[in-house]
Amino acid sequence: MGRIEEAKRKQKVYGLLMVLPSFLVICLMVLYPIVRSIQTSFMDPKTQAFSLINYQQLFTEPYMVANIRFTLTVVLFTVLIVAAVSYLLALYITFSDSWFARTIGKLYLIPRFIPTIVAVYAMMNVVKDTGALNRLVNELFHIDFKPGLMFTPRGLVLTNCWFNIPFSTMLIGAGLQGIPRSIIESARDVGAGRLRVFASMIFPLSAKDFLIATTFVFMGNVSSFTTPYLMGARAPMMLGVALQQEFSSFFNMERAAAISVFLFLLSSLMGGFYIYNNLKASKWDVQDD
Amino acid sequence: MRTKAILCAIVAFAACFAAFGAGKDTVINYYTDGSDNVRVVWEAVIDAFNKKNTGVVVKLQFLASGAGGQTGTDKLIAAIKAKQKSVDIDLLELEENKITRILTEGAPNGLAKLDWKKIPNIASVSGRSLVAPDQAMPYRGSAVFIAYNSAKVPTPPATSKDLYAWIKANPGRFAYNDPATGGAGGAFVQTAIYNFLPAEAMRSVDEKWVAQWDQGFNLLKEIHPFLYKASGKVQYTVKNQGSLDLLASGSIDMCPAWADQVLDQKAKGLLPASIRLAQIDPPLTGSLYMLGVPSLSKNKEAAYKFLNFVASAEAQDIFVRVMKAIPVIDPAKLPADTVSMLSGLKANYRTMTIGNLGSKQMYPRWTREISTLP
Repeated sequence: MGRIEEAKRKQKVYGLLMVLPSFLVICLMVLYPIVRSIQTSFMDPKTQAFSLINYQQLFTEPYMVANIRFTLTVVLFTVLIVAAVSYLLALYITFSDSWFARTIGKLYLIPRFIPTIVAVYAMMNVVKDTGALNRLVNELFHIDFKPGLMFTPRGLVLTNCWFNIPFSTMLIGAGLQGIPRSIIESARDVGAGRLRVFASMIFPLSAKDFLIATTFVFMGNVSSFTTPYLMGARAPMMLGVALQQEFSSFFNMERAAAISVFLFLLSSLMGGFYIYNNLKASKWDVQDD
Repeated sequence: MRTKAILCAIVAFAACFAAFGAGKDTVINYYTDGSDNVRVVWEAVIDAFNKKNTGVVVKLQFLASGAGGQTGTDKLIAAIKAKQKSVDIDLLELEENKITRILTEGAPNGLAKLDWKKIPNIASVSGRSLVAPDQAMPYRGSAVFIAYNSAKVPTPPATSKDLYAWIKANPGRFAYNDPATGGAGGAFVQTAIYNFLPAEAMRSVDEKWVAQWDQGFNLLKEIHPFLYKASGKVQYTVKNQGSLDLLASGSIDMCPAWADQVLDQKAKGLLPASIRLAQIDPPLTGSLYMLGVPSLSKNKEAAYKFLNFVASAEAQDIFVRVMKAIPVIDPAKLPADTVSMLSGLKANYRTMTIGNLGSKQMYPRWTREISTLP
């Protein structure tokens, strides 16, 4: 065996050794719990024997079905509104040179740095029926204005937007930043209008980042807990809250496991979509190869 | 062998040190655990006792809850099981569950029969342990009461029937929290259901009682439309604090609440002064905290001296002021400003021991049948 091959082999071993700790941590802290959860979810709560009862109840009990439907509705609206608003916001921040756009560009990330629980309480104190909005309108116009947002899906979507718009704006904005200004300018030079530039250049070039942002918003919200726990009604409730309730109030580990496996499947569906989009080579990327 | 020798030396040294340090005083170990407010209140009580120079010095062995360590109860049970001749626990905080554990897992005589003649203040203590009335001395209570806004409701309902009638007569002015998220709503739901059952059911973990819950659940369904509404729907609040927040903002006039939580928040100005507490008949539920002396303790006489102090008006005053606990003696014996701090509170509540029938059957059923009502 040559010395070069020997060195290469050593390098390979060192490489594996360096990856090993994080690999083991992932096995122990991520893979093992997932396997255990899946296993537990197929156990009968009373006899611990193999059974599909947890899944059967999850998809047939009317209040659980209502919870699933409610969760998907809230997440769908959150994703749609966040995607639309943050794409427009990212476009504005990236392509406008006004002082206002620059100020927003500096400020928009601030909500990311406010702890969830603080932000949710702040939101509640503003929108609840005796909250800041109510008092302000009462003071100014003597109208007992009730925003009607507490305990409603609208309120949840509003708070979700507050948390997610900065994050997805950042993701999309980073994608937009990567579009060379030169190609936009040359397109404008040969007479392409604003809409034309957007439709055939900016949008195709940022679509991938847009989809990635959407995926992350979906995954982050489908299993959310703090916001729906504090702001949402007790029924129907989002699956994250139902999961916590089964686990720590009703001590029904098997059913909690079934809910978590279902949430995991929903998330991995989106995760798969994300990976597929990442692997798919865009025709604009060809030059890199 | 060597570790044993070292241990012996340490023990001997500690014993000498304790003997020299405390002079002729008997040092007794008092074991308790819980939230930090438990430590704070006991430090105050023990401090007041030790200053009296009764010849007994109490040492607090406090274990914060959630620290995962061995509580006094576990330690005592282990000592009994290991057939030890003595244990360094002279006094132990108890509640019904712990007493049951010591008497069943340890030994029926694991706790000494208290010599009431040496604890004369027991005469003014109301309430006894249901499990072992002669082996534990109650010292404070913690219970769920009806918290109400006296500015809106001059005379609170006196009975459970009055309360349900009041709820129906005043739509939207009453709220109780999801029982799975806090004991205040839990006590309301449990008593609404168990008031229809024979009294013995409240102290039974037998599943046969589950079949008799329907009447109570129907009652909860009946009052549902008259509860607090927001955004066009009846809403159950989250956690004990949820209803108190509504009470503080004037959105409701009445809710079930833990007494200490209400009194503490009143003292801090978080709840308006007009919020008062009342109990209904039959009362809502709570628990009685007690003290007991292990049979293996070598310092029983000294422990009795401290027990007598704990039952005195002076010590009870400390429990109320520092911890907002429910006193076990007649509040009339306490200073006037302490009594006003109690906001109408009397030691009047029931205890309930139904094991996990509540969490595993009653609350899931509530979630399915009551919280989903339109």
